[in-house]
Amino acid sequence: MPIPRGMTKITEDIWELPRSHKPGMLVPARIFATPSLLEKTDAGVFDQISNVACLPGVEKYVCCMPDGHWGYGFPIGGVAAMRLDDGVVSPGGIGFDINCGMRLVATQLKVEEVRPKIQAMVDLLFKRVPTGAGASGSISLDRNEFRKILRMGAAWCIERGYGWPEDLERTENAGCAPDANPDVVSARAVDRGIDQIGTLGSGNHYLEIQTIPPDGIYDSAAARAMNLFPGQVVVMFHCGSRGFGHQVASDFMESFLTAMPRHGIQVPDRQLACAPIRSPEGQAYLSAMRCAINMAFANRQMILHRIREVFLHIFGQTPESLGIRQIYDISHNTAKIEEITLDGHKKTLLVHRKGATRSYGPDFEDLPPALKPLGQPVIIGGSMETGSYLLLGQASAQQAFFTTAHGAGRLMSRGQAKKIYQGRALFEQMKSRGIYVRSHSWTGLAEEAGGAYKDVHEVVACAEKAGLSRRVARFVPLGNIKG
Amino acid sequence: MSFRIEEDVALADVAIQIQADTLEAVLRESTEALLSVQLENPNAVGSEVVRKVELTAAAPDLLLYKFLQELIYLKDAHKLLLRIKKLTLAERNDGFSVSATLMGETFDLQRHHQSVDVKAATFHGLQVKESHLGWQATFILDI
Repeated sequence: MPIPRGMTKITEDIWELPRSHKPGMLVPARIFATPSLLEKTDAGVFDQISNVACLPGVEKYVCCMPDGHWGYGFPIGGVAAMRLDDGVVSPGGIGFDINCGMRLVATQLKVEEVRPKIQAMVDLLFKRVPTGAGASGSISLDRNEFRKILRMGAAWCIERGYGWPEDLERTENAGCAPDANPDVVSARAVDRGIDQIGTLGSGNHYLEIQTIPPDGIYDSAAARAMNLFPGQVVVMFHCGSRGFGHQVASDFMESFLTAMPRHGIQVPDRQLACAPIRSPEGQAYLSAMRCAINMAFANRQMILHRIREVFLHIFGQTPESLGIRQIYDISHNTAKIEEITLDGHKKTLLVHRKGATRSYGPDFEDLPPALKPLGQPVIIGGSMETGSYLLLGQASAQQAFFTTAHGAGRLMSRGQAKKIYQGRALFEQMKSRGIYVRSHSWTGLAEEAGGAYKDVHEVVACAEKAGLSRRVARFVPLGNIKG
Repeated sequence: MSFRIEEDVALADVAIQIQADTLEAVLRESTEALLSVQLENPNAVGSEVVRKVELTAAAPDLLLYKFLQELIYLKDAHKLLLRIKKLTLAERNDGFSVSATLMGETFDLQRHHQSVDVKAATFHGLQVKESHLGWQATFILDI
């Protein structure tokens, strides 16, 4: 893809579209990418990130991460920090799947103990963690109880025995966004989400049993501090707020389209519909968004509980004795109010991160004592064939409002992937390579083939070189469940 | 079938293009497109369940958006897979209204072979236009 005219090189891995690139841009747009990744970036990214730079109240510059590709309103990988007093909040800058995120769980098991049982484990996980369309969670909730989840997040699960207190310590914001108000959430959103707690979803959502290969440790000291070692078995999963979050996003997108003329706001793309942060509409969206954040944290907590149950069943030992403990849980679709020092001045900003992961360095206040010296864990998932990474945030990520990449990003459309890959054949090939996968859909599996995604190794290397996050460990898949 | 999946438009999601004689036909084809995206065997959807839907919107594209969103809501909240049995569309001073009788059945994992789960209709590239060729609609479904 040709690089837009006028794009300047800041460093080998940072490029900038100036304000003159498009009428209405209030700030420049920075793309974090190697020359190779930049060449693979679709034109939609440049168009969308420069649209984001037009939003009222945007601060300094907007960013796109190394795995960026076009999305709705914001590109995937898009980051924008807004001043609270005159800035806007845009649901397109968080994404439909509010608090889509990743959770990484370590065990004390070694790959040679797990491989003989991988098929049984994956088959049982496929039964116990509902996936795909029409799937219902395993706990029955009335609306009152669901509203409690929207306020409490993962803590609701811990209170009822679906997890350990330490799981909250190892979750962003302790698994709960404060100031969530279920009263501003529509009945339709509740209808869609009430029976989805503990479900994985479909598409690019997955639960994967992985191992650290012999050469998979990049930072021995950090790995030791987190009790990670080559040959270890871990579990990583990717999911979010399901239909609930989607409905919240859609409801407020529609509401903002109606409200924008009253606030004198025009946007170049309807999916960038927004409202002033301080307006009643903006505040209502933030409260509803936090409900969805909490629903997703509870969702992932429930899934962790099921994982522990499956390991107990398969190995006949308690999860405690198997050391099934959470490394961390991150969100890659949120907006958070954060204090960030820019050009020597401390500013309180609403940071939109869409398909982008928060990435703070050592001493970050939100971290538990054990992680403070290291920095905030970052979990970046690759494709089901290529593997994933654990990284740590860097102080130098301040240049991107303490943000880094979130995944590999797609290279080809679902339709193109289905033409090239056959689901059943892919299943057999992966099995012959030691990766056992279960999915409800052969076409869905084909669409998620490794070749349909960018090279995650290139993405994380770029993020490290740009100073956004640094690699700690790499994981390769053993087994996977998908919707 | 007058809908087409546009291959190179949406990487992570599904883009649909429809050519139809009437706006009512656009809604019918959109419903079929939604089922075809979600299921490998859309013809396996029976007709035991009936649902009535009434919507209004200021413009044809918003009408299509709201209609698709309603179908997605019914799929998630009530596990229903539906197609249009009867549709009445009226143009008013302030836009359009539609009254539809939908029929289908509850999602059954054993009989309905899912392809992907559609999570939302989007405004991205959403267009519904009338020309001398009839009506053309394009929309993208979030997967």
